[in-house]
Amino acid sequence: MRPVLTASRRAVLKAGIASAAVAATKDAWAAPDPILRFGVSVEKPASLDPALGIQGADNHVTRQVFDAFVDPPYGTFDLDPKGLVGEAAEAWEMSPDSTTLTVKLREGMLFHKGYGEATADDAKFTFDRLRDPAGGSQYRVFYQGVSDVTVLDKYRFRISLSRPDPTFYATGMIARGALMVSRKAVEKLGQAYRRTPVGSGPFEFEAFDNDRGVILKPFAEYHGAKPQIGGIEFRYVPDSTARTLGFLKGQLDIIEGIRLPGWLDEIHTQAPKAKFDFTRPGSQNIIAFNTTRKPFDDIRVRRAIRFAIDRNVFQQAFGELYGDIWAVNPPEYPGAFQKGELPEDLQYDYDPAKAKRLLAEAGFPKGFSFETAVSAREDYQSVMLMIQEMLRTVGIDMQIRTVDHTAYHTDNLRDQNIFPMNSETTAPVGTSLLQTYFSSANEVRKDGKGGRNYSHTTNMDALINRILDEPDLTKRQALTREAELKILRDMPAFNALSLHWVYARNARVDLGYAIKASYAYFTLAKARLTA
Amino acid sequence: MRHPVTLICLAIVVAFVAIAAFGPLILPQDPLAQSFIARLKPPSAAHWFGTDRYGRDVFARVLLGTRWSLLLGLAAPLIAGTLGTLIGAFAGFYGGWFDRIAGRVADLLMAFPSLLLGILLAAALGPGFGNLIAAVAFAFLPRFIRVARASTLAVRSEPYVEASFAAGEHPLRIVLRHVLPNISGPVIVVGTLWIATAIRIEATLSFIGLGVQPPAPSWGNIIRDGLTNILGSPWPVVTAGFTLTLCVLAFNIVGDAVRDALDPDYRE
Repeated sequence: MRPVLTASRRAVLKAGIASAAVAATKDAWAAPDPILRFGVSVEKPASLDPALGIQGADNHVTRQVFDAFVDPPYGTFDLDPKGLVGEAAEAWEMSPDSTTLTVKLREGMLFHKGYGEATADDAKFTFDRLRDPAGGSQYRVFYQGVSDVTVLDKYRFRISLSRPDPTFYATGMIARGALMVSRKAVEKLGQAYRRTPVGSGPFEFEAFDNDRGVILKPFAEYHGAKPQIGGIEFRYVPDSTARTLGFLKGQLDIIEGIRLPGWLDEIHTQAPKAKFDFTRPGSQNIIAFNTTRKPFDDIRVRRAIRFAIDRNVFQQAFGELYGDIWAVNPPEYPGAFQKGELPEDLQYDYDPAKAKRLLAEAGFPKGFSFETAVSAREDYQSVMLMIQEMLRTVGIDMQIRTVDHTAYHTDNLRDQNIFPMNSETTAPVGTSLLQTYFSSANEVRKDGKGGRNYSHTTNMDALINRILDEPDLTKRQALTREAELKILRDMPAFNALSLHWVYARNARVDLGYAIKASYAYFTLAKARLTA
Repeated sequence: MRHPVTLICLAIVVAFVAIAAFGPLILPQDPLAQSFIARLKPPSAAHWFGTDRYGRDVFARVLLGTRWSLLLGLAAPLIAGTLGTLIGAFAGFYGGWFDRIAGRVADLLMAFPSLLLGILLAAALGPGFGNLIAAVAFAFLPRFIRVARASTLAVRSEPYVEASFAAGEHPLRIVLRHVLPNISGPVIVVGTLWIATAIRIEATLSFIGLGVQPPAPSWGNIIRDGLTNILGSPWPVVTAGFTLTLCVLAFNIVGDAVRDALDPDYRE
């Protein structure tokens, strides 16, 4: 039996028009999508434990989930102690001799997922993990001067330094490793803590989903101003084209920009309303020579390569993303070398003839060949492709083996690479790069538990220690410059260029502050979404 | 074989082979030389296919990429064909445990699409052109084993093979002198048909970074490099993509014609 159609065609048509009208009205009056979608440039999260980060992209997540103790005013890198913003810390005081920092935490600050109130015991646990040599934290180098962390009462603790460090708050207390973890959660979750982080920040970890990435929701009991967005999804989109198209189609609100020649111009054209946030000075692109391997054990070869690299090429290629580097620290750092301040032979102006002469002296009149792994991430690829071409002109055949970004860093940290590069944003403190890349305490190890001194430099310790022992900031800066000159002479590694991070942002996202300078990540606690 | 389209495609194939062989000698510009003043330029008299984001001449890169694509396109089926034919012929001729093992291994490998198997192997071996050839050749191997085995089974019962047995010829000599020449037709057909597939797989693997390594150009990595700037400067993607399509199409049509000519089942 055929079903009987009871409604007339006219009734169906009316119903259709009515529902279309409802749908249109609903669309027109719909509240803006409350979820902020952030496209990051890696395949998947590696570790969301802030002490054990491997790849920079994970910092975007941890910055939202955890509280730093203090931080520069949002959107700046202003490390004047008077202007710092307290997150977990309510008050802090450095002793006049710069050897003791006493910190008072905010009272009533809760960890996510019912892990209770944050106390000084959690703070001590956080710092002890960071400085534990067996812990494997990349930030350990910044806590070598910490001799003890003492709990004074429920909310107060004291950090004792083995030598005066007037910049400790800038290297050891900000949102770069110094993100407060819950002792109970770390001890209970163990390895799982890397995938299910528990902090006290404005957003709490909800889930990881293959399609939606890391999902964060606002933490209802956050101690500060409550987030104004409904949540954040960190989408993992390593493919730069997919990320760009996702942004242009409005599927992603913010994306890690693509630091490739021509990309910025293209987005300007395709999405004229898009906003761009630059973090200056941005990444320092440190390239190390593995001095334990031939031919990079020969200083003449290392210097030859440095002379073969042309800053102008980077400048032409990257345009407004590019920043000059004259020594080790970028010129934006207090006390750093500016253009023309260096002795002529240490300026390393492009000089292919000199590079060839040095290679000939080192026994390579016709150049040589070597293979190096390079990360598949676009900025690493383009910098190394340019270097490859520059080296080719002096007879050096640099063969590239492209590997996944996470695997690249893992291999580098296991001393697997001969010419590793690391793109990193540090706080503008002169000792950061020196300690990270030139201190023997941070020497790379085959077991992966060393640090990022990929060149195996061991002759800088005395000078670095003198800097770290010096309480006077001006004298520190003078010693830092001395150390930079030594590095330029020995050339175990070099800072090839500053590459500002760029984020493309949909105009519907208001961050709540303007980004002028920052690490490669920033808080979204004040973000708002408009229609 | 005398169909005009086939003849045009044959001419295109010959042209590609000539470009692969002699192209690097007549490159208009250095395909690796970067010039950031001339980056992302549209086609012009100086740069026929425009330039990429490093200011490299895309025409020179596509021309040089032909060599890599064809080298793999020919080497992988050749290696797979040689090994697979030997394995298949011996398996079909001798039978027994060797036949069972070779048959099961071929069945197992056939369960994976060639592209997927190629990706798996290339990822396991690591990037590099030598590894790429090995990966693609291995991915093709079971096809040749099957064809050679089946053809050998048919040939084995032919009177001239039985006559050789009766004359007391050594089995190895029978395989080499009588079996292999008589199964070469189907094997050549398969080889011809898979050249286009090999070129396609090379482009795919280079596209995802597992094939030809930078700065060496291949059609796959030229397309990959061009994708990020496709909205403002589509020329590298369009030109390398068109070249790849043309090459694959030409090899496919020529392969079909070879099949029609050599395979009795398809002969009219």
